[in-house]
Amino acid sequence: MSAVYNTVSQYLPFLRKKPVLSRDQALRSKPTRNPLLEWARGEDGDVRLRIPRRKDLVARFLCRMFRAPDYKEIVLDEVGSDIWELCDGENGVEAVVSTMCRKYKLNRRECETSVAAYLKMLGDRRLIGFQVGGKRKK
Amino acid sequence: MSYKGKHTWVGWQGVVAQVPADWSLSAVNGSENSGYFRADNAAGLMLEVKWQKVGKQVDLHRKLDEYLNDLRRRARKRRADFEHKIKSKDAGMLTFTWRSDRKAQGRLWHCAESNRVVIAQLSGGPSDDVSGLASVVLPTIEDHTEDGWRTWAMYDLVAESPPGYSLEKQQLMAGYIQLAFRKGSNRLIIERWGLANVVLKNQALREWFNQRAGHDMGQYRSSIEEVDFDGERGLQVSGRRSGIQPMLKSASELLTLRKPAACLDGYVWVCEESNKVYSIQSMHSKGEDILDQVLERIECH
Repeated sequence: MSAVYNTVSQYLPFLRKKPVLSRDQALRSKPTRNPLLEWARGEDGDVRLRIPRRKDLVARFLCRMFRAPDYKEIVLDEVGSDIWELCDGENGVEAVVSTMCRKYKLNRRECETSVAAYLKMLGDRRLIGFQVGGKRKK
Repeated sequence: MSYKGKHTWVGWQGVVAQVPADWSLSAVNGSENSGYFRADNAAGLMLEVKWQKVGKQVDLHRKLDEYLNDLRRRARKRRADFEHKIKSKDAGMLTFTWRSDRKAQGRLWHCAESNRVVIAQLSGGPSDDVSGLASVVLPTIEDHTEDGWRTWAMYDLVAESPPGYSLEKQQLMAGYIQLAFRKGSNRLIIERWGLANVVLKNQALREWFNQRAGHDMGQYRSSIEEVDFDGERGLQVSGRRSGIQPMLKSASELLTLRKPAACLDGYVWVCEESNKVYSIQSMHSKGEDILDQVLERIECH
């Protein structure tokens, strides 16, 4: 039954179950920036992400109709920029939390909660993915 | 009390405990009369403290039996075994241990001063050294202070509220903590913001405070002075109620036989050591100024 489910879910992504990670697994996972994105530090030190627009027929038509630019720009704030730079695929979530705790003198629990929420938000927007146990999750 | 070193304080509604430094408050509820808090670490060790106001006569054995029976019922639902042992330590205290899918050591006592029954337990997984840790943590629990001030301790903030003031509202968020107390028409608000170096990067403290803080300050004609807090940047706020609407509010407070909170006093300061901004505001009636005492009892780092 699970073999059928796995085969079907390969073609129907909405049927795929999201993997549930334990706290330890989540802390060990390594956030990695989406390689399709361009990013750079601005003059003010904040990270600016350039997200290319979809290139399919509908998107191209809508872009032309509304004269939308070819990319969308997102500017991260100071703390977000630091987190973004740490998402290099080398640092685990644990290391990101420890670095932010040290830099901003935050309580460990407070820092863990806010960094986890921020990484989840970046992940939901597909700006980063998480490597769990050596494999890329997203 | 020493708040530094390898231990930290956690506490709610005047019930405080000293726990290892990597523990923090993870759940709170209830009031002065009946409440609960939990502190834990990432490894699953946790301290739970529960209190309840009671009459003068209380049967501690019955209270403990009720508690253990409740745990047994829950263990049965999980199809887990449950064993317990009760020991009488002295007349006013019972100690107990239990073992199920977790194990715990705890104590239950009646505090004649606060008239509360307090039950505290430290629990962990089957392989954790619960008894060793319990013998260090449980004796540090205090359920009242001698002068009636109530201690609140969470995420490296330790503050005390004056007698008679009860918690009206709390916000425990990552980077922002607010504890608001009320006694009649008097209010006391303690706040802490994290990331001081970020929030004050492009703004002076005064400018930031005017924009972000200042609860109900619109009711008061206030003046803000820059002051020095032992070398730290700070502000002193003082004001009086003015305007038609605030005066009507004062009049309505008088109708309920309460002295109107006509005065506003406050302090705001930046603690560079902990990289946080602290604020205390007291809206009080004449002669009810408790601000300096609250300030003295706050541990910011």
